[in-house]
Amino acid sequence: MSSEALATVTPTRPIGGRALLGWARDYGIVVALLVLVAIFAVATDTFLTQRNLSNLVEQSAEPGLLACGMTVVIIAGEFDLSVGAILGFAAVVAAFFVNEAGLVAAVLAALAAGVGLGVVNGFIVTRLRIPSFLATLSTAFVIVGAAIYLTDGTDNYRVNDFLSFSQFADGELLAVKYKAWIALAAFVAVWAILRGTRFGRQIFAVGGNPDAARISGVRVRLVTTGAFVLCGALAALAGAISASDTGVAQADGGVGMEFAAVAAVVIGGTSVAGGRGSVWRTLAGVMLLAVVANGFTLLYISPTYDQLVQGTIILAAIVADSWLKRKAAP
Amino acid sequence: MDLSIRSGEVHALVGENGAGKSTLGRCLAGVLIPDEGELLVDAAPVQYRAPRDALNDGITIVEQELALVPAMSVADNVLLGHRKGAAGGLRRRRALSAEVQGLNDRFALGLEVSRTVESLTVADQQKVEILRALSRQARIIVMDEPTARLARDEADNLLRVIRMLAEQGTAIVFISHILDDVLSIAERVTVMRNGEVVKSGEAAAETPASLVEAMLGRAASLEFPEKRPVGVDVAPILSVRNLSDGRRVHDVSFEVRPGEILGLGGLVGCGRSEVARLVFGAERPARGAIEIDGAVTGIGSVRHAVGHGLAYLPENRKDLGLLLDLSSQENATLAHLDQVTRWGFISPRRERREATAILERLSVSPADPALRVKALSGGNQQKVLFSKWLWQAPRLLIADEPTRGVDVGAKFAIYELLVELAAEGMAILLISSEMEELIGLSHRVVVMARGRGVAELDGEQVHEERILHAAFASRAEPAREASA
Repeated sequence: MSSEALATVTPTRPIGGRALLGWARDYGIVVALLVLVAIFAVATDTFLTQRNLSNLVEQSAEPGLLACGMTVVIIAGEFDLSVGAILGFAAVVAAFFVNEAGLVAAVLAALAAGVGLGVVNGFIVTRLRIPSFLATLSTAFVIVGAAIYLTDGTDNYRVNDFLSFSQFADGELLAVKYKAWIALAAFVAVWAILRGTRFGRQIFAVGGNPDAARISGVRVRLVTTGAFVLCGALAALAGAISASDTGVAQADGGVGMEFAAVAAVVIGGTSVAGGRGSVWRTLAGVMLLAVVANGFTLLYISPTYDQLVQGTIILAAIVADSWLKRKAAP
Repeated sequence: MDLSIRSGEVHALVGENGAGKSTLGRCLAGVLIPDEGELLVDAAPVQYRAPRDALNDGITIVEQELALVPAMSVADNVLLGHRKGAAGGLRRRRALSAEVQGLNDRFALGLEVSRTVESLTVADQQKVEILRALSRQARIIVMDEPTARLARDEADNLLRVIRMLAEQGTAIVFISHILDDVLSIAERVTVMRNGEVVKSGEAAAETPASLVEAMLGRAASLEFPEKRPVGVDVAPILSVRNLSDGRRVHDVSFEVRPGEILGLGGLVGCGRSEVARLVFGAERPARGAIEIDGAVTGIGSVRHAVGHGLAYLPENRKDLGLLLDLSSQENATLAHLDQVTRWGFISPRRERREATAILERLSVSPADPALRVKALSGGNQQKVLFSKWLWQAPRLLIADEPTRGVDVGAKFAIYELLVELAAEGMAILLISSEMEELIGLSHRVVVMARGRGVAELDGEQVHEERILHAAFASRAEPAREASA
């Protein structure tokens, strides 16, 4: 055996501005939102008006509710691509019940429909063991189909007494429509559930490591189903709002909205791997998308570029998040 | 720090968790990029930006987490990313496969190169990584804890392979906690503490005690704490009768009494961990009875088991035990959230108070209950796992490999903890591949082989020879049957 040195190494321990990167990862979304608000506030006279800001939050109500529920499911380590379909189905149910039995019954029936569809999604995912991506992709088609069937194939369902039903979504409190307050209340409630309750803690556990959760005595299937139920109920609430807002329940009115919901969750910084995230992040993500769309309108930029810009923002958010995650990792 | 490695030597790196052994190994192999300092290969300075660069100089690493494609064959894994394998068609690939086979034979690794990697044991998967290193003409192979997950016989086999590699001129950087392995194989040993070299020299001059002293910076006891006597006529907490799962466990029976540590011994894959999972309700038994306090229970779920006062430290803490993204506090309270929950809401103050108390009792460091478990060292992660199950004191603790991947200091703390818990009246079912640990802690040992209990050893009978004899004797049986 020879004794000459083959390799010599003299490393030192890694150091660096990791704390700053970690902070950027945690609160970058808020900074981005504030920067955009500042830009539009300076660039336009109309952005910071009371009317425009009300509009902004009111338009975010339905996408916000979907994204809020989606956050819960994603933290639980699953996906729900049927939220758009549930919105349309629940809108039809609400319109039907408001004609037959009044406003309260309409909202409760829509919520019940959302809960029921959440149970179905949960059952397919946890008992039939179908990956949620595929399960909810399929149920989305079934749910839209069922909603069209309920409208006798006409695709939509009219509310007879539109004027009184519209109070549910469009009544005003402090010059902001109820629907924005409802969405805000939903965000606060879900935040409290995730942060403060046993169910919330178990959602994080199941999403983070289902095996470890099971070995700790967590009823994994029940918790996962609970996440789908919560998500379904919030989507249904959005459906009731949509019927009340427009006076027409469109059976496929929510199709496509699930992707905007996933986008808002991801832009906020909730991990699609599950087990990490927060609902305030999603709120920031929803507002960011809304502010961009709104600002572009005010700047008279052609709607031709809307999707292009939104897509680029989503991509940038994901790239930045992934980059910061790697740099700031312990 | 400075370090030099000569060709054809086995150079061991030892130190506590977090001492920087793995980091150093990964810098060598280009996985991590050093901030400062020089790396000289053949006396010429080099700068590796990626593992590929190091590989070109013949330096590679076999990490603790193996990097193989499970569904591909051994040969394909070995050739993966190989410049020669990339193009050249079927005939070329056949020739390369034959080359892989040749290397396998030359070093007597005993692998079947056409089998898929997922069908191999962990020990054989490691050999696939070694084979891959050899096929790239590796001159330095860094091995991070190669024997930690292996049973004794497999580990000895691996050490034999390492010796052969060294004789043929390959230098091995052997990172390990298992000091017996280190001393049996290394020519030189470097001891690290807090990222610095504290000692480097001939292995022949070292003993386990001298290495531990260097690692800790103080003398440490390597003695097992004294076993406390168990009351003879105490009724058992747990009785298992003729337990079978229909696949890997057959007709296993044993009892554990309060205050007793019962060891489950045997080779890896003999069904010990499966028994633990059956008792804890994580799997359903096909036949047999599990009695708690003499009453047959239908433990069919983990929740039942927890309700009966059972606790389970799983073998693999990262896969089954801990939620790495949650805090120490959230991990500690997860199994008994009911204790701090009212009307579905967790009381933040009570949770914090309770978690802080148990984490302090087990001296988890740093003691911050809000810190993510991911940021803790292996030993402290293990302590968090203990706190999860000791918070609501269980009556029976099932500990499957409780000291795996834990450094020496923490290891003896865990031994003391287990003996202390037993002395307080807890029954403990201990599973360990480390013979010393099994013998040093257990009052009785049930030896398993091929899913059956083949021997029960008590008191003076508990020693290495008897255990190994029982474990191997029954393993030889099917071979005899087959040849008859």
